Amino acid sequence: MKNQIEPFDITIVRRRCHGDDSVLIQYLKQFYQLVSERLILLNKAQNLGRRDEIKQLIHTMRPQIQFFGFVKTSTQLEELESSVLTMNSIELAKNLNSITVVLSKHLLEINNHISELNSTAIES
Amino acid sequence: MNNTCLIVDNDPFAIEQLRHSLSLIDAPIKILGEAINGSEGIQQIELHNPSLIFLDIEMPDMSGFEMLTKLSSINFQTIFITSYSHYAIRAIRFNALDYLMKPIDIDELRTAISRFQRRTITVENIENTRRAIQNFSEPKIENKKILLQLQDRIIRPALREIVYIHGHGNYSTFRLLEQKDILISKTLKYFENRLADSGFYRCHKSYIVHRSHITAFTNSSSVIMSDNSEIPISRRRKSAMKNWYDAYQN
Repeated sequence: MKNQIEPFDITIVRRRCHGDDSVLIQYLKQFYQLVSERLILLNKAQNLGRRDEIKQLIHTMRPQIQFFGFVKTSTQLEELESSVLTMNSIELAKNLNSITVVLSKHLLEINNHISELNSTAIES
Repeated sequence: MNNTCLIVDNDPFAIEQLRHSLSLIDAPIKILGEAINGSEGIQQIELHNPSLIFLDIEMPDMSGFEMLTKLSSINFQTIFITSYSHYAIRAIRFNALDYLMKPIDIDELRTAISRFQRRTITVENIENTRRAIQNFSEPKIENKKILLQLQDRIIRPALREIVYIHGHGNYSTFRLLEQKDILISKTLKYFENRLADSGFYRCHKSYIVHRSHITAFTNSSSVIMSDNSEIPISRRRKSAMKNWYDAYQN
């Protein structure tokens, strides 16, 4: 089940932007920037064994993931957040690896949408 | 009214989404600035003197509640923002304050803003905020206090002092320790919501009981309280109530 990464449905975010593509692209770019940065920080925190930081990062990421309509990923993050301080190191590494794969896939999809929207933008 | 606000949140996405949502609902509020942590929030509040603060509860340098304790005065309204649904929400809900869950739902924001517009800063608002701060830093829920408005005065019993609440129409009677009864002109439903997750249970359409004061369950669908009162349990709530009580005992 973990291998089935849910696809990104851009209509969810577009609806939340009330059809305003300039806001949509802003949200997409911010998602790309923040999630990329947080993945790097997550990796660093994991290497240093700082579980509090991992928990905080996962917590901060969740609302944005939810806003983008990634329901399964949001649930996965929520489960990880609630057990990150107590699970053993092997389990933690496995879970972090899994979430990194999922988020990287989301980033790739978002990036494709950014390129597409940029190429079809109407210049004023 | 001076409709101005500040956003205090460490997450750029939350700030962006709030800004965008405020513009979507055409909120008649001017955003004076943003702060990405508690220290910056204090500086900005003192500099701008806004009428409303959107305040993140969990920030790395200090919590939203801690930030409020560091201010010399609170003469603004606060809408808390959080993605937690646990103890912080309890402290907020318990004190009848406004909060929004992340990501922000536009309809909930609209409701919170119209509440803000209808409300003026009163002694009671400020008192509620102060109480929330105190409750948040008070680890033992039983020591928390609830503010009850009587006809001629306000009393603040600790939760541990409440044995049960009896609802009758638009009124509720609080049975406190030493068999003191206090009549409040609010419905039982109101207190059910206020006291959710605080050790109280609506066991009957007319009663809310405090678990610390339950001394026994009888065989005839009722509980005996510490003041020897016998409180009925409705048939459909019996099993759920047992589970709730057992979870507490464990």
